[in-house]
Amino acid sequence: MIAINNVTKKFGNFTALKGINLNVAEGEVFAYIGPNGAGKSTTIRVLLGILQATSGDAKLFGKDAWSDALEIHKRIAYVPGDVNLWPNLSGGEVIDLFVSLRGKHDKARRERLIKDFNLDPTKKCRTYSKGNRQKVALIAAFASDVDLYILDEPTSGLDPLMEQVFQDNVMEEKNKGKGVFLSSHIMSEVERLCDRVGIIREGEIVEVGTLDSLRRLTRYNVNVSTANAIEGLDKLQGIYNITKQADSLAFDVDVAEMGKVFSHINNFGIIKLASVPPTLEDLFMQHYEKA
Amino acid sequence: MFYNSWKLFKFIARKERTTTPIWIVAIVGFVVLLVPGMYVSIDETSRAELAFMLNDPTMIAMIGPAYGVEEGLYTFAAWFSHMMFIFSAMAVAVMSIFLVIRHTRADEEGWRYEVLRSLPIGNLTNLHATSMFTLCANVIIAIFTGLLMWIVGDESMTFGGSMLFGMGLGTVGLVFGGIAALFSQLSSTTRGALGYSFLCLGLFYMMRAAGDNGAEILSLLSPLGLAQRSQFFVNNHILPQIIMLLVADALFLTAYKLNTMRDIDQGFIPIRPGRYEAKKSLLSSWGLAWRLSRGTIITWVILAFVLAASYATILGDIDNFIAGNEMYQQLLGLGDLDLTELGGLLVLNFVTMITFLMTIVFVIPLIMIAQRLKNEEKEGRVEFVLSCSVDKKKLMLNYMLIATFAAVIIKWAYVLGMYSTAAAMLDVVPFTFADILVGSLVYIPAMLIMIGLASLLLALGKKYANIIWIYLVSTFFIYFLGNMGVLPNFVNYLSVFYYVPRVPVEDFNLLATVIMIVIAVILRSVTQYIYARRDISNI
Repeated sequence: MIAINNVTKKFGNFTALKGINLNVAEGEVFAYIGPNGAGKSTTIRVLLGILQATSGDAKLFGKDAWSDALEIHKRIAYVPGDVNLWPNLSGGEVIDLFVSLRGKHDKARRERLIKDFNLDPTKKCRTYSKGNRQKVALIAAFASDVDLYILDEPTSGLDPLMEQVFQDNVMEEKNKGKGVFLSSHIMSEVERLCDRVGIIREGEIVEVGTLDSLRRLTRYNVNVSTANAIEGLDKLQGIYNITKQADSLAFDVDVAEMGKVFSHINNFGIIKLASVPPTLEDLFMQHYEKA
Repeated sequence: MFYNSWKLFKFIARKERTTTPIWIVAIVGFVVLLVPGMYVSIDETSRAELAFMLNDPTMIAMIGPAYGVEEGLYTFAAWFSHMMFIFSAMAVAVMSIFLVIRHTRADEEGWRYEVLRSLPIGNLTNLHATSMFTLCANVIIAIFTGLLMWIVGDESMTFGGSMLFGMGLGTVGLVFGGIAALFSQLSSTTRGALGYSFLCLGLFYMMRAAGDNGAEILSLLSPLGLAQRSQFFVNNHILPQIIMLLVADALFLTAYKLNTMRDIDQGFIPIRPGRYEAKKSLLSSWGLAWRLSRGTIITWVILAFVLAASYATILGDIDNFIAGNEMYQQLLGLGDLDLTELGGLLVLNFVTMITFLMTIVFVIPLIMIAQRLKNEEKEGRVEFVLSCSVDKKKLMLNYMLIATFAAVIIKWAYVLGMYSTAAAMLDVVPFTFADILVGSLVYIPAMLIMIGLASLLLALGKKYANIIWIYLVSTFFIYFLGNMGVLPNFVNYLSVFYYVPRVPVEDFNLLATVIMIVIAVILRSVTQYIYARRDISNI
């Protein structure tokens, strides 16, 4: 559905994207994450044909993102992270405008979404808070009949209840076989919704894969009490951050080395052993910080 | 309630360190510099003639009644204050309205006031500090205008009269500042507060116009009329100004009271709810462009009509008017001619000149419409619209076409305003409808080129867009200085308006018109081509 092939984007001397490659398959929810200023929004703007790639090509539905933008845009809905709407139009007017610019109008769906998101569409946009402006953009997106949703931090202003409504709508579209390209900082959202994750840092894709496969690349935190004091642990490979606690020992261990480490510990008579997978935050922090 | 007002006053003064001084210098400078200017342009006999002409109901409606004519007290100073007071006072009123609303409702509508209120300040501190700053600004205007007028004026410009004239400007500013403070409590939006305040200004101006022509009480009820009742340099009554100060005080105190009665972000006038669903006419990129430009077009159509009508009212006395004004003579390029021989041609010359100058003014809304996408892009809305199935070339074309439509309809409003008023007021209309219609519409190709240039600059990049304003202003100076003969001839050719035949004084030139239309069409295509190929960015 999306094929980004070696795309570079330069702004003057600054290189925002350094030859990135990404593929998103049909019916897939793809999370695109990375620290601020890493190039997430630039990637999305290249996909939308609003910025022209300096080199490489970005394709949606097999068509070129820049030159076939008009055709592509009939099949996508975009929600920007920082939504500015026309101050003297009502929310309802903006929703109708965007839905009709994209194509078919489904009135029942519009009404259902306005109810679910609990929006007053008769208010002028200048009076909406950030969260309400995002609701307008989200309703306009989900009320459109499209095949791919491109969402750039769409829920940063929503409360947890509305976050839930958003997630339900994404799941519904996913089950219909629609694709979703989601840039987000909200880890629970990513964990619940996404099939695959791509991490961008300083204009380069540093990791792409399913959440499980990403976890496999990282470390578990282990806390163990043994009958006899453990010796020689620091000589094993893949062990980090050993700290002695009152009656136990805590350390991090690479997933690949876990078997060897546990059979070593077993020699000292395990009383209690807990091993915790990394939280998503830990996982992403490792990738964000990796030099 | 007023805790830390002094600190906040200093903060407002800091925020205002450029805007308010510019307003003050512009207003005071405008008034004071015109004193010697008008003094040399008119002698005593022509002033007596003018007093007669200014007794015309339309002139009274525009600038108010002349005081001291019968008593023989219509000195230069009396004449000057008669000519200048109303419009100068309205300029001060506009300054005060913007100033007050900028620091009250506008700050509240953004998140800024909320942040201020989280600091240790009272619930009236901000309004109070704003009021005090407005008071300071108006006192400065009053004192400087008064002193400088007294210094540069002739002996008829007495110290007392000058200071009272300055005070009159200040009290009008304060009353309208008070009105703005009131509406920034009543209305919950900046737009509403500004709208109601300016509506008041307009209504009071019209009330005064009606009152000065008969029902005196209406003038006394209008701050603009009341302030003028001081009869500057003739009787120098101070009572009207004292009443004005009391009224201003009452208005501000009412605003304070209302401020304590309401919650933050709330108002007393309910907001009209918007539409639940969009009308069919909005549902396209064209519909959106039209919706965003509609207000500008309506405003300027009305403005064009009113401006044309007000120029038409003076056509009857134009010979006297021009005879007494060297600047106009030079603008018309009539420096060496014997005016009496020109007769009816003089009126035509004058109309042609006004049409030319108004054309330059009417290009302002066209640029605003043609460059609407600049702000839309900055706010990220172009990006949002283009993410739907909208063609970039079409998007640009929408605004160019609407600007073209605006050019035509504004010109028509101008023609209708000019002709209908002249026909109603003059015994002999010195021109035919066809004359003035052709004379106005003949500028449209040049206006299309201006639209094309404005769009082209925007297409090249947001940062180039403002260059068009420099060009527009320079076309005015090229005309002005060109007619005075101080510029080398080739400079004239740099102004697009120079190529427009001055119908009806000159003959219509088909070739020039066709060439300009062709250039405008080429500009349009180039603009679309370039815009379609450039990145959109909100940085």
